Amino acid sequence: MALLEFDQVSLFLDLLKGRVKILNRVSFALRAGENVAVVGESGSGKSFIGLTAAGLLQGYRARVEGAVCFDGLNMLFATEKEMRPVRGKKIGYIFQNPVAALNPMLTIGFQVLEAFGGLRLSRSRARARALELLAVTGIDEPERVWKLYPHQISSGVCQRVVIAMALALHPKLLIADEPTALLDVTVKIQVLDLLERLQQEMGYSCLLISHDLGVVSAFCDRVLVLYAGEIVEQGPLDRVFDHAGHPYTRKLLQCAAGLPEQDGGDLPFIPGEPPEPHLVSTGCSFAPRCPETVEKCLVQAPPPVDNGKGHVFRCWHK
Amino acid sequence: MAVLLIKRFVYGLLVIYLVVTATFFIMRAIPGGPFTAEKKVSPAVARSIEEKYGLNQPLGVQYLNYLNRVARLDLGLSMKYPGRTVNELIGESFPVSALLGLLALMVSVAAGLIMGAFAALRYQRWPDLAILATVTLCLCVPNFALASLLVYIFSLKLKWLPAAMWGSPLQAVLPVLALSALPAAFIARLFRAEMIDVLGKDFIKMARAKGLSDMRLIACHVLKIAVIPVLSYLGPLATELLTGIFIVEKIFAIPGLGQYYLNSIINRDYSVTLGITIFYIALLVAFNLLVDLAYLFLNPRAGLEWGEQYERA
Amino acid sequence: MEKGLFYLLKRFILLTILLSVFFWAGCSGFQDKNSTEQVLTYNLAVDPETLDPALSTGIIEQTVENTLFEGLVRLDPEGKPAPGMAERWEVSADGLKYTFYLREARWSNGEPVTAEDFVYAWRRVLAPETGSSYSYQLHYLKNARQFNEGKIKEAGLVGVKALGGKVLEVELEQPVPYFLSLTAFPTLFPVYRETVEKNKTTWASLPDTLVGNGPFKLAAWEHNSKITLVKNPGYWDRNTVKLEKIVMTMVDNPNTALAMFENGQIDMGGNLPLGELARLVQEGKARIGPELSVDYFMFNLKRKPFDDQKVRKALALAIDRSVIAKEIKKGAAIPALAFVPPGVADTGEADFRKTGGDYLKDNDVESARLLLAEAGYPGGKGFPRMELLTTNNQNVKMVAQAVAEMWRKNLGINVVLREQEWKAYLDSLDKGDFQVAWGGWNGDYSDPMTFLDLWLGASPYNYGKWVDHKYDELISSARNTSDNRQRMADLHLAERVLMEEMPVAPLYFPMRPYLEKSYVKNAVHPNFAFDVEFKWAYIAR
Repeated sequence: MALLEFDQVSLFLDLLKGRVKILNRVSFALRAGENVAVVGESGSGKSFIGLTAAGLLQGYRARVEGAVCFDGLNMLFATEKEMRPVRGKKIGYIFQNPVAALNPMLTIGFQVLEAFGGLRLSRSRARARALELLAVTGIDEPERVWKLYPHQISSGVCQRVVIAMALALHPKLLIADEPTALLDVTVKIQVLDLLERLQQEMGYSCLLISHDLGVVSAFCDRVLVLYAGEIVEQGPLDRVFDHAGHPYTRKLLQCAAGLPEQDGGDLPFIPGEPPEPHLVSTGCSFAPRCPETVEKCLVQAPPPVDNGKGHVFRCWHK
Repeated sequence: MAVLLIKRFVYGLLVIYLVVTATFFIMRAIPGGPFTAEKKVSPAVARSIEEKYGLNQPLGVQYLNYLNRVARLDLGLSMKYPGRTVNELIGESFPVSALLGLLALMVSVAAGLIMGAFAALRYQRWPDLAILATVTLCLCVPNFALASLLVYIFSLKLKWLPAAMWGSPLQAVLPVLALSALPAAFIARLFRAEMIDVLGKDFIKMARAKGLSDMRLIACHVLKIAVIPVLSYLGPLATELLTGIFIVEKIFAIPGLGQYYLNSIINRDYSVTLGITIFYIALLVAFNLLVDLAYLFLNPRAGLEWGEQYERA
Repeated sequence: MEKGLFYLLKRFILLTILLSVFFWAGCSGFQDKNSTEQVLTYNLAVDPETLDPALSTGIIEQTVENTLFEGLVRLDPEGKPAPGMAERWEVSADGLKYTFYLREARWSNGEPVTAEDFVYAWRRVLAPETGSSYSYQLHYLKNARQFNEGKIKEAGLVGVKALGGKVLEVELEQPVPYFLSLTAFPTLFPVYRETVEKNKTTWASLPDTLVGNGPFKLAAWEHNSKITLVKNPGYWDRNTVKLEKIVMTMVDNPNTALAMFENGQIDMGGNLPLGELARLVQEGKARIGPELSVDYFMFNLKRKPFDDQKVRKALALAIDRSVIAKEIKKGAAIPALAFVPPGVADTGEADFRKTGGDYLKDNDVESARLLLAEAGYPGGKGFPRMELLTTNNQNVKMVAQAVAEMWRKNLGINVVLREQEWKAYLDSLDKGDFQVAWGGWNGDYSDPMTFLDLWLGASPYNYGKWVDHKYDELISSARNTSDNRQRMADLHLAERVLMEEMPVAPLYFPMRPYLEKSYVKNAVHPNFAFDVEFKWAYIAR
């Protein structure tokens, strides 16, 4: 049974300019022990997959259709009371910007301690556990960091703190939204090593949201490629990376590899921009930017094509 | 930081000195004096009165004498109320004003925060809109009009509350309401905007992701940040309440300091006007110093940049 | 620090609740008056400046003092002097010497009231160092004015002597027919020497040191809030006094006062919104009492063209006083067609105003136009820009605006209002810095003289500097005669001169509206000196 399953999930947000479709009938499954990556350009709605999965859409005026099942619980129908034990205890969450993810007005210790709230430990025991966890995440002087405020520590340390908080209660699923995007290269490697090591110790599954295909290839079993709120391609890592079926995936891979498209060409990038989410289009959403567009692409949306072994993509060109 | 505190203190003293000097000379410049009266007195009587209050001396000497006395915290004799000293007068009536002001401060802060938080949590849904409408109304209606309206409804029509005077808790309800409506509305608006802003932050999502309850989330993560602009409003709020109190005390016949202040200006009761001015200014300076301290206490980054508001990440 | 805000919030809420509970528990709710209790709540409107009879200057202070003290006489409900501290008195044939025989009365501390107490009190008022603004009320005494002005240093020369413990002999400079009534005025009240000397500045503000001899005693004085008076069990006429307690509130805002009256928080008071007067009178909640008072416009004779009698008269005639009395004063005023208000005794039982009659016709626009043309300004042509000085009192301003409009319409004169705050206005009057100014005067005693001697050439209140020798002679003749018939004849003649020369144009005689519950009985509303006389008042529900 899948640990996390999205079934035809569409997400709408009510913004000032009106109702906007962020996710368009997203379906995928994440099995226990599996690491799944969500890749795509910024603005493709990657982060919202994570937020929807963890039920963290309170800050938005959101409407979700479809079904999100986590560990047998339909998250869309769950009450706040049912959701609270899920968050933290069963789903840990790491945010893109570790500095912003920490409250600037509270000490690190206070915030880490909060993550143990679900355990009903005594204050001193919780503190001991928290300090231990900070040490495990590779913070040298947990006792010193404990009393500091976020602005007094580096972003790398911040991210370790965030990871400690996310994993405090040994969740089954870790949702990591660009955990390394804002870190220096050396720190980035350290953090990735840490996540990998902890996974071996704790055995959680991971939903990694990233645009960094290097990180993805090192860490994940399966990949979802998201374009304009739609999964255009998904499948096992090697299948998708080696035999990409969708032109968008191929473009992404080219960009990541830094290979010129043709001889003497510039560094690769995908011309054009993703469509405005509030514009409804017929046809393939990537068509306006796709080098291989034909008449049909503009008129009718392509159906999913099953390439075997769970490798599915949406494109008229095989 | 201690240096900065001392700096602020000295700055406060300077403000007091300047205000006192300005008030002293402005009061003397206005036509009519404390003993300008409809009924004439004989020159001998006038002279004896002037001597009693030192008004026969040259203005410069009077000024220096006054400063000298103020430095010893003696605000002098009232010229309007024979036999009463300004210190006495403040001592008697200020506790009333202070209680009224304190109640209004608490009510406006509490009501403002609750309304603001409630509106922000129901952002753009009907409770939010209802609160916004109430707030806008409160900001438009001047407090004397509100006071009359409250008296009309709760005292004359419903007969729930006494119309005026001071002494019993029921008598405090209407003046406190009239006084706190505007600041409460202001705080609600300020706090609502700030809460909405804070609620959108990553660390709020992070806190939620940790499984915190909404109550704890708001109490520990939102309030502390969102309350900072409210805190910086407390200084102006104190001023607002002080001036509001003048009017409310008059309407509700409350024996506070405000009534003496207004009357002393009309009566040219120099010593009372000056005394209360000094008292008010000192109070405001002290209050602002306190707010600064609270600010320091609440904001860990203020230690680095005194007075500068916390910049959002 | 870690739990800082959460805890702070909790404590804050707790504190608020605690404070409210405390506050709640500490006091009972409002107004739970027993209907049979003889407790009267009267709205005094403002805090008395002082309750020292020598220093007070206003009717509000005097109203309170009249309950705490008693002079040689007390005015009866008809305003006639009735025995007070003096059981009886003798007046010499020439009207210059009064001998008062005091009754067995006691101060509120049990000590007997003696003639010496009066001597002390009066000398105290007259001593320049006391700084009494109303000391002129004692200037009738022999050598009193000179002593008050510091020209005589010897207090013993002043015409008041104690002949033994209970006999007081008073010598006057001139015969003063209203002197007896004057002894009911607070400035002439006795004070208890010992406490006054011991607590020179504060004796009159504390129940312990304010020793009085009146029907009530001071029980508490909460400044700007209320004064509580209780019946004085040692008062000589205690059997007449029915009220056990009077609570005098200080509610300054007329709308608030009315709300409290309607709400039952106060039983009576003179402070009410004039706009509501007609309704309140109709509903029987308010009445309009008499007042010895006149409002007028003063002309500055030092400024052209107001040195011209015709101009002054024209302006005085072109005013529709009944409109002002009705529309602006809302009925709480009588159009003034002479200067001395009604309610002042002439000879015998007659009223001075009735005997004197009217000296001008109201709204006599025809004559006014003729006079103005005679003065050289037909239809207002060539009349210089005119400035009318008023106080910033809302009602006074409205009167001035109305009159300015009448002058513009009737005479073609353009008037600019100059509005000044009370003290600044007084300052302008003193400096003669005005052309025409609003003025008002309340009588200090019930006699035409209190209004007519204002306009003596040497009077400090004659701001317009009008000097008329005939007028001065008539007033001085009235002052010096002991024949009341002759005196009144002189005063009538003087008023005629005043109204002929018109240095002041009378507008209306203000009246005193007041709120009073129907269960308040026998509260007397005198027409001067006091708002209310409480001695005989009682509650009958």
